[in-house]
Amino acid sequence: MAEIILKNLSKRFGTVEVIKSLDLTIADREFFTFVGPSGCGKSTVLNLIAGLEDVTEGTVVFDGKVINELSPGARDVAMVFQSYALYPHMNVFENIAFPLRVRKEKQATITSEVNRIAGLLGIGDQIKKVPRELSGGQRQRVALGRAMIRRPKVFLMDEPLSNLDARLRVGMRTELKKLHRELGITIVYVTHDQEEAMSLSDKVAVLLEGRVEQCAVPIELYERPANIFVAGFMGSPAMNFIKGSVTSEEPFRVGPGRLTVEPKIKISSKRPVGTEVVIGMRPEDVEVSKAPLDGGYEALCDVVEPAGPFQWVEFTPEGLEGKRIKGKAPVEESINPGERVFFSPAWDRVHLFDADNEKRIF
Amino acid sequence: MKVSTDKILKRWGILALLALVTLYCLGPFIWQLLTSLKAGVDLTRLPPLLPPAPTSENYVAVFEEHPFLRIIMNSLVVATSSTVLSLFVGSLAAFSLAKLPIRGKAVFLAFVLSVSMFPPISTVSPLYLIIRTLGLRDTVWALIMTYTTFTLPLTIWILTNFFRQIPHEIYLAARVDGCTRFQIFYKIFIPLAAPGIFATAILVFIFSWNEFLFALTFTSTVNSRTIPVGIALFPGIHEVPWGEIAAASVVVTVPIIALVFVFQKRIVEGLTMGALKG
Ligand SMILES: Nc1ncnc2c1ncn2[C@@H]1O[C@H](COP(=O)(O)OP(=O)(O)OP(=O)(O)O)[C@@H](O)[C@H]1O
Ligand SMILES: [Mg+2]
Repeated sequence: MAEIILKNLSKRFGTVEVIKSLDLTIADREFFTFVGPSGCGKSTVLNLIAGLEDVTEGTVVFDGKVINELSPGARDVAMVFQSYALYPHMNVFENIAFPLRVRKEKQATITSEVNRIAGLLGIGDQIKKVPRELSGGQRQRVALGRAMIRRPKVFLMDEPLSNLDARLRVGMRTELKKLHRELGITIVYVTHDQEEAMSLSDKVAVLLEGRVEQCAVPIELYERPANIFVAGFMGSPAMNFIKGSVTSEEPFRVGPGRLTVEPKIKISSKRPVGTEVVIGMRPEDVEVSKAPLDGGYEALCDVVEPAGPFQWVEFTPEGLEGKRIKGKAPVEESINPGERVFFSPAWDRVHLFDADNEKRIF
Repeated sequence: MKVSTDKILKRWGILALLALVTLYCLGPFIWQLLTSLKAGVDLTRLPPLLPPAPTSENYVAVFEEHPFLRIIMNSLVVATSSTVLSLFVGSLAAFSLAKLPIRGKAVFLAFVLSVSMFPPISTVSPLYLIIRTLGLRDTVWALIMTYTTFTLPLTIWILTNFFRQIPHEIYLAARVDGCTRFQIFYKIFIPLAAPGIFATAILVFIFSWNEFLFALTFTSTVNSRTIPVGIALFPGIHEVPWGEIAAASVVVTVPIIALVFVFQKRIVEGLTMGALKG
């Protein structure tokens, strides 16, 4: 049982404000993820929750109790680090047993617990090895085991998968999700990989320069990003952005030149003709074809990237020279660079942002 | 064929060079060893080849005509205590300097280093006064205190660097696992810095074992006299007892060599443990 509340949390290193008045609630048993580019303060937030750094301002609350002053060991949290931070001079058994040894548990308890956890993680036969004799994936499991053995209220993970190769990373994702369900505890996870954040989490907070840009369930971040940064950061390949302005109010149309779209937005959000906006289209919502499309536009193909079941096509729309847009075409279409193509964005999936404050126009 | 001749030449060249360096380094010791086995006129004969009839009388004399066992014991006590004290205090200081949030670390480290820059001769008289005031003249404590103080800068510098190389995440992991800072120090950092600790221990021990100036000044009797002074003061009646001096030197060099060999293995083991990250 652990609900974590961060109230007006700030952290300064010297004069640099790394975390800027964070307000967040992490529900009990939630898989909560902080995602953001390098240096945005993700690790710092985790360290503040773990008690490895002192907060400059604000409070960290666990289950209604302010724990700002508690030492990391007393907070009942476990942490998995990016480099795993295994103890190099101890074998796997002693690494996993370490938190129990510090607590001075009985040897019998330690032996049975370590063996149970090692079995659970599939490293039962590696127990005598030292960290340097293990593969990346095995080290990762030992780090997980060392965290699990304490039966903590909260699990903190700082980019635990980023040192693994792509295939193993996807495999471990599934295992982490399973683990979360089985342990039934709160997990606070940090990653710079938006895909990982989307696939693992119940809820995601997108951080930029120490501020939360948006905190929502993954599908909401994808479908209704709150601003241009979130829209561009979440989703791969990244969203296409086109500068434009409102060309007509009834029906509501925006566009640069000939490329006009009719975004579905609330009547109250409509802006007068001439307002500067940014149009956002995800590549997967832009259909590309060699044959003319209904309501489509002409373009010149620049690059084709086959992606298995379909292909990504980068093209320059007619009349928008210098602007490249990415779309998606079926594999059957044999499109080549330099050829004339047609594209058509899905109207109801077009995003619209205010060009001034970069916020979403709903 | 030419290539292989080249190779052979090269190999012999390297071997010859190695032999030369080894001879250069070991030369004085070998000479000493040979001298210790000679008596009478053989002592001063050049070149210093092995005498036709090696003798052990110098070795017997060292122990029978001088209180040499007592002197060796003094040296052992002084060197061991200085090493233990210097490493105990130094490693704690180094851990704090490497890992704890302390202000003015750089200034402190520079200050520590500057202490070791005074030439010993300039500190002898004030130290002598201090030691006389404390009533420690002619006791092993006078030397232990002095050696601990003089080796601390070295210990602190070496160990601070070793502790700094240990990844910070390991320190954080131990904090989260519930360790106090002192537990992190002795459960994680000491074992991980073992190579550095052994290397420092050897350096401190050798310094204390060989130090002459302070030992000469602070000791006056066999109560606290250490080996270098003891040997220098071997009384000769008509001439310098070169044979006995050589024998004594050989006897006291052996423990140092043994020490280095024993610890060398540990140092290499420790260094190859490497791969701390991950
Ligand atoms: N101890 C420190 N002293 C000064 N500045 C720090 C300290 N720790 C972190 N910072 C700064 O705080 C900012 C955020 O650091 P943090 O490690 O939280 O980033 P991150 O989001 O985890 O990045 P990454 O994805 O690269 O791990 C960085 O600009 C960093 O330089
Ligand atoms: Mg980080």
